[in-house]
Amino acid sequence: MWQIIALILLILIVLTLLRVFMSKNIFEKLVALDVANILVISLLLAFSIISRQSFLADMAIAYALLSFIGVLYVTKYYKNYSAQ
Amino acid sequence: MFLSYFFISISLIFFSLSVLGLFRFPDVYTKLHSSALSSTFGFIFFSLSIVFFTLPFDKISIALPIRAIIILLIILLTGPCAAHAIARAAHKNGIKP
Repeated sequence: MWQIIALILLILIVLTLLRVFMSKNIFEKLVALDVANILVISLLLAFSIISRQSFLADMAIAYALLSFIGVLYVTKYYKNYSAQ
Repeated sequence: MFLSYFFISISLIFFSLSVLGLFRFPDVYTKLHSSALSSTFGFIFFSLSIVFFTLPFDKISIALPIRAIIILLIILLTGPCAAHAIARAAHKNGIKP
């Protein structure tokens, strides 16, 4: 059952990354990346249940903290960027 | 076990609606509205499903739900902050809502 859930999450991640690479505006790309981070965290937890090892959950904690800091610094870098 | 699959179906429906909203909404701010759907309700029900899946707790299997609750608290703290930062940077660059 959890293999099917991981497959659905993989399809959703591929759709979201396609939205990241196809969009024109930089902030729409950033919003799509924010959704992709949460889907990747859910996929890590699903893999942690499938393989019955708990170190993937620790990696999910580190990924959650680092994705937040990454989004925050990208917005700080593009603060004075004149879009179109 | 049954309650876990019920919660995971709700969570996958919310994730799919969030990704659909990324494709269909026209603006940055409306896409932020759709992104918050995945950040709150999708992950809350996903974490509840993991807690109910490993329900007879013993010393080994309690390691996963504790980490899932910690990740849920981190996302509930940092998700609105990241959304506010994106909206503030988009507003300072002159994108009209």
